[in-house]
Amino acid sequence: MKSRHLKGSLDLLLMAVLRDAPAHGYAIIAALRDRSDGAFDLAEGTIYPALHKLEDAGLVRSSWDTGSGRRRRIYALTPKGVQALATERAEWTGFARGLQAVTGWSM
Amino acid sequence: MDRFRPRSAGRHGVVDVTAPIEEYLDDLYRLLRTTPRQARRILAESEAHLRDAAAAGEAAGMSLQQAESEAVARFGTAEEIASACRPTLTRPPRWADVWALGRIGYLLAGVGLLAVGVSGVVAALMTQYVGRSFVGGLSTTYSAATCRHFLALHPAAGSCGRAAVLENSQDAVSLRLLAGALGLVLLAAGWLWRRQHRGAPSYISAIPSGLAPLLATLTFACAAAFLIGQSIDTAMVRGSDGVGFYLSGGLVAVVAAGISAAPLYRRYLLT
Repeated sequence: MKSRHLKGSLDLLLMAVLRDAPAHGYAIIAALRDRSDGAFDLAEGTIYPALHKLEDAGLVRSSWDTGSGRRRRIYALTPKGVQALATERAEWTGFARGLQAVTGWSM
Repeated sequence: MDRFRPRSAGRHGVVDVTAPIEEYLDDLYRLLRTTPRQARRILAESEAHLRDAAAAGEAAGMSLQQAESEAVARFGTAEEIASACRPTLTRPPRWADVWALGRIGYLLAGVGLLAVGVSGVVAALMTQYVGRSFVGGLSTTYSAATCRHFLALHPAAGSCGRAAVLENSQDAVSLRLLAGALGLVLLAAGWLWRRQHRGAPSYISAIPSGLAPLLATLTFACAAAFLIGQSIDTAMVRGSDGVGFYLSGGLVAVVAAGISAAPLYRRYLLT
């Protein structure tokens, strides 16, 4: 996957993973890799600044968790994030439909 | 969790820097240009992530060294992560540098004035125990008007020279103590300001943290060299008269240079 495509969609991907359950960064990366069958294999550390920006925007919230012995920051989608994800999804669906119609590519 | 402990701890408990994760976190720490809070958070999250990834690598059969190297390689370069953190700044880094330089200047002004005040105390002690001429016997030719002024202030002196010695020795103490009091006020105001703004977002600037002690050391060392040189010159020309005027400042400057150099010594020569 071209990194420019991935970077442009990183916020959406992170929120999509968090939609199912709160998770820490390592688990988010693992979910991204597993769900995309290895296609979304980005530099793992880059998700943290992205998560911080989402938090600054009020789309996710986070808290420290030490339950497993190591201190980890757990991220969860906020109601505003859920709403933003729904909006993004509608936009992406429309975009993908238009792209498919113009290019004739099947997805 | 034994496997996550640094494998060896050297003198003073220094972590083994050959460990890939430790080296990586050191690099990231050096490159981060963001708020202290975000920097701490990025470092903590990065370390947790890297330790998890290394543990997974070990579980898959890698050696600890291989697992840590693989975890670091997958994490992205320290430059990449530090660069990704920068856009979250709300103030350009240049302002952070200007701000840091301003704070250093303020601190040096406060410390410098305080040192002048301490030299006033030393001058007072010299006046008390060595004599007024030792501090106030400066080699200066005074005008008739100045002599009249000195004699008006010290009518019991009897001569212009004696009155000048009394006035100079008093000034060497009182004016320097005044400067010291101003320095204390500046430092106290700075401390209060910092205390009130504790916890507010601040910025890591590109100005190295060792710059303040370095500038202070150089300034005090130059002042010490000049003042002690003047003391020696005065002693050679006039004997003991006026030597204390310079020597009181020179001694304080030597001590202040030593105190300023201590953090540099600990930081750069002991590591």
